Amino acid sequence: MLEDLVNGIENSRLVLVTDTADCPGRTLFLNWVKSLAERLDRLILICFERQPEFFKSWLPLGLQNRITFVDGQSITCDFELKNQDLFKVTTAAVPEFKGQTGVLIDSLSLHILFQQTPAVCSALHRLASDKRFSQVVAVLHRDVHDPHTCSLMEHVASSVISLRNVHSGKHICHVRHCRPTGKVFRTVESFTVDDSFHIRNLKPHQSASENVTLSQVTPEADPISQLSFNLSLTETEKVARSQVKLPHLKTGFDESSEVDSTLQSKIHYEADDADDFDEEDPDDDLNI
Amino acid sequence: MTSFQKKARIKVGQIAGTRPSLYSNQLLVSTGIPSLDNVIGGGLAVGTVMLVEEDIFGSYARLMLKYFTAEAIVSDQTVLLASRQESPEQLVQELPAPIEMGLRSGPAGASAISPSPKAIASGAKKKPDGPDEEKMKIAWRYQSQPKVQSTPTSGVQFGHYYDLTKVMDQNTVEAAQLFYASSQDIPLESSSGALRNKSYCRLLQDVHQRIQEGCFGTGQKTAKRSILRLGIHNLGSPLWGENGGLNPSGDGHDPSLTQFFLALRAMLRSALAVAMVTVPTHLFHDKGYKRRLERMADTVIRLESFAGSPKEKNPAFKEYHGLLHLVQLPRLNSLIPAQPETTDLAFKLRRKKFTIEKLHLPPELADTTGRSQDDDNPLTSKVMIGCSSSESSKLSF
Repeated sequence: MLEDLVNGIENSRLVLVTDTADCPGRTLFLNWVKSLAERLDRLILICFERQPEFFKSWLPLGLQNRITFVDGQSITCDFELKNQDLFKVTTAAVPEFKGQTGVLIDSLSLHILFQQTPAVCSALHRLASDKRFSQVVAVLHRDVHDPHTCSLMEHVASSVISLRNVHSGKHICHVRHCRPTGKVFRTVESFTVDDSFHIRNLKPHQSASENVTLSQVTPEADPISQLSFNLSLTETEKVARSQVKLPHLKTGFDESSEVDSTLQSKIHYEADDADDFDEEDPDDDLNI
Repeated sequence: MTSFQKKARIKVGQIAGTRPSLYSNQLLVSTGIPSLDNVIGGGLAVGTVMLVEEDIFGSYARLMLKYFTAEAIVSDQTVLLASRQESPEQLVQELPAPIEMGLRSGPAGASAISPSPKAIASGAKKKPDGPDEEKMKIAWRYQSQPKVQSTPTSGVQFGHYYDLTKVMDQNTVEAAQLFYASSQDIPLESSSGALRNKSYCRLLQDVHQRIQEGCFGTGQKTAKRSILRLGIHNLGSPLWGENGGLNPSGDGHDPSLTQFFLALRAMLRSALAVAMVTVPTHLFHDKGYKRRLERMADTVIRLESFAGSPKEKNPAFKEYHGLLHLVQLPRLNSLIPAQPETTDLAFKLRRKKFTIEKLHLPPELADTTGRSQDDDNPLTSKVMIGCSSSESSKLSF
């Protein structure tokens, strides 16, 4: 799921990467910037914590000119114009919008410290629901804020990737993704980071405790085995059964059977307007 | 001379899409989901507020609001929509199309939960040719009896069925009386509003203005009485400037939302209007705050979706998409609320319709001896009906 999200196979309007000091999310963010820069025509990167040079030094030269850097300090230190919010700054950063644009925010945490949480939420929501932007990715330091603030931020996001811990070089993260249709995915995945901070080995994570529970799952109960009478047949009994001639079976009508095979019959069914077609398997619960 | 006076009947039949309640004689409107109407005592009483506590991802609450709006349009009522999560126009464009029930013989809203068997039967009946397709085989001695219309057809149909796979006809939507509350915070000229949260003030003003302009107040005289429906989506989310029930600084409660509910209810009590408000109450961490909100509304239901929760894989809930908790039912003109048949309710989203059903457990095939009687039973939930019941009404099996 995480790989699909990073590569844009799974569409998400607003992605929130939440991290802690133990498990920083900047590597994932860097990779996300690169992936978005390769896919989209233009990126707007709002830097609150690191200078634009930090990103430039890591990204390949060909991708750098697609990125417009916005200094987050201009928002934070804006004491006169108090109405400056993320949405206005972002839309002002680019004179005209051509093609697909993505917005990346390196850590909302500083911004939230200066602004009220609902205001940040609604600015993010406006960015994400604006047709001009195809994706908004933001980092939030989970351990800086109270859980209350985090839950508000996560409520606004369509996907939340929370990095949990680093276990023997493996970064473990919980992914929650909600499609616009309402289907929700929750996965636990892990990845490793190589020397140049590229993400490798993205795969579903299975913890030790999960393995135990998997092995403990009891096999499906077999109702036949618990019966006090015999329902199954042995091979000889089956042969004997197949040889029984049923009393009303027609015999010796070979011609008619040939005629039957040439005639083809079809069932035409016209779906009714108020027809309630049930896609579920009607025999699903029979457990055969 | 007798003291007996015939009670002057209020002509309730003249207002489109309403009917009197069988319990309290209150004027009811449908929520748009007949199976939900059935559970909450026939429908929503005019002049009351229904609070829908949203599921975590809000998709089912949004669907209910769509049904509520569609029902208003189909029964020729006025709608005022407010939403900050998306533009209300977006919601209107996705309204489900009503199923034309020409074959159905009247308002079966309260009793029929699933219309499908009838519809299929009538559709299949058309297939056999011949003029006498309508002829039923009945006992000969009843054949000469005059036909009796079993259900009254004089009134307007109450509660419609909708097809989720189709959207409502664009012309119908455009002809409907749809109004949208202003989605942006326009600075108020007079800061007389008592609420700290100005977006709630703004919304209250919009509601008040609509009631006045549309002559929905009970004191106002108008030629044709109609019902105003208020659909408020996602109220109390951070997009409305609500900090999860707390003050902007994070210390102490912000009473704006409860005050808003109180003001809204007071406004609706003297108007031919009914409101459905969906609130993401899971964002409020304080239980007391939630309870206060619930007290300020009349009908309260809570949706608990299985999407993204461990219950999704629980075999007991395989048939359903979520649970419906009846948190509070209104006590109007009566001491006790309408008593539903059961409080174990679940909802299911089929391809074409959203229904509320009694929660049935699937057949148990495994050994029953080793079953524990502990609290890990997923069905054990605290359900309170009405304001009167005691705190611990645990369901016992």
